[in-house]
Amino acid sequence: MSSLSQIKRPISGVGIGLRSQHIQEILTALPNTLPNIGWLELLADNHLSEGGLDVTQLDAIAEYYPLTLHCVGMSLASVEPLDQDYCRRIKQLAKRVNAAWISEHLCFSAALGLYSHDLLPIPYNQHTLAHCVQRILHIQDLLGERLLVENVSSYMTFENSEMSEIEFINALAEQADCDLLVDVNNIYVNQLNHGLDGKAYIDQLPLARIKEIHLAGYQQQDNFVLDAHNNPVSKPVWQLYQRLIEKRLAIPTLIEWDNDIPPLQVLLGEAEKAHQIMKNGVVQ
Amino acid sequence: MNLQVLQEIFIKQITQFEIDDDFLKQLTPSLSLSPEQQVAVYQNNVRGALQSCLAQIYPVCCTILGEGYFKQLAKGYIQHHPSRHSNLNDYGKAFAEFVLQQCQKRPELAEFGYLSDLVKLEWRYHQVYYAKSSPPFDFEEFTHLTERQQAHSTFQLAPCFQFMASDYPILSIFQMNQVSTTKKHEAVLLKAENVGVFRKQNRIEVFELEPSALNALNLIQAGSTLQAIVQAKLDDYLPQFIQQGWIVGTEK
Ligand SMILES: [Fe+2]
Repeated sequence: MSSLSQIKRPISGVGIGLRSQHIQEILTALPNTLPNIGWLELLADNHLSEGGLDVTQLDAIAEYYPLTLHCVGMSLASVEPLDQDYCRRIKQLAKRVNAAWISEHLCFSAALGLYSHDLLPIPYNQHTLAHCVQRILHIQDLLGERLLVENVSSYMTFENSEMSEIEFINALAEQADCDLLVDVNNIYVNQLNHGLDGKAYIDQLPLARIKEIHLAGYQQQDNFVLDAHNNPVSKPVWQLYQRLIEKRLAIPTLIEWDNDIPPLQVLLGEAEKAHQIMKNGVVQ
Repeated sequence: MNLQVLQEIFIKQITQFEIDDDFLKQLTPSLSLSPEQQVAVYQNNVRGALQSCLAQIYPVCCTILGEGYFKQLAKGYIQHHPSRHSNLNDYGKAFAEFVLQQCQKRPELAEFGYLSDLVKLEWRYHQVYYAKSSPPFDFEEFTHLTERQQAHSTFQLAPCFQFMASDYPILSIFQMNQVSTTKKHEAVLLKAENVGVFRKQNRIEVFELEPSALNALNLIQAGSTLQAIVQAKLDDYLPQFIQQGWIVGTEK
């Protein structure tokens, strides 16, 4: 591999999450890339096997699109020993596809050797903060780069939380010297489920640390909303997004869609909306 | 409750589907959810993720049983088999065994005697999909061995090649239930079919194996030496298996 291909390609504009349903269409179009799509985000955990059909397809896509890695398996807030082998494999994948950066959620997902494959919340207090800071510092040492930490949707409220989520995230970013991935839909889901003030949350974010924004759709359940990533981005989420973009234009923005995945054109339509807001600052 | 205990009880509740009263005391009601409901949301998320995972690995089984029944069956499996791997690709290995037990227990499954073998075949397909590719067999290295060394060599099968025996027409059933099939309404002959699954570049092939080829593969997999394979008069298969890419190496 030439030294040039090791230089990380810049991520800008709007991207979409790469999903297996769309891979063939994207491959068929190569060397042409999708209109207005600046980059693609991989669900890193789906690409950790040593071989397989995915691998060769991924290499072809990585030649034409800048890529970022999104992880679910680091279990950032977990008290269990860090899965160093997992971090190593993520690092290898990032190197292979020349990923611009790696992101992970502020949550835990495993304990006692049991895996939830879900994003489990933690109490926001000084003890958890100190633990997460140490863990992220360790992970960043292993990866050799800053990690982007993402806020999650939560359906649980803990008795021993002493601070708000945004206070926790500010302190964490500062102390762990990590970057942030701000998921605007997750903020809104927490607004609906827990009554947090989404606008105030956006206003308190440490702007300089935000490297990426996620936009997705939620699903209304009987008495709460689920961060299901199975719907178009909702109007209030576009409005919160606009509020954030007005503060610092052109933060790379990603459309996430993971369930009931629609045709690629639908995702491109959502991406186009984000593009318009980035350009004109207007919610259509 | 410290963070470690909290996380351990939390994960147990949502992967083993119990409710822990001490844990509930650590929660406060949110705008819309009581502590019990908060735990239930995560239990449902975990179950849903594993149900989708099983449906993806076992699409033919899901088609045959119907999505609703498959989900119910999967729910029973998930109840007793929490995920113990960070990689979801490793989940669902014991499903064939579970299905076999269920076929004996549930009267409505009595007519699906072949189901467990079908599940086994789908697991092999899944393994082949994610297996690493191997470099081709090194003939030069093999020819440098002494005759004695050659006779005592054993052979390695490619990770992207899997095979199985079945008493049922398992390949025909598998092929008939593919989304893209043109064989939907063909009658299935009631014969035993042994099946091979191999990934060749970007394609996975599923094919029938004749009984003697299966015997040869069983010997290879069991670690039999070249000498033993010759004695069983099955060595004619070796060049063919090597050429196909099913055998990728030797061990002395
Ligand atoms: Fe997200």
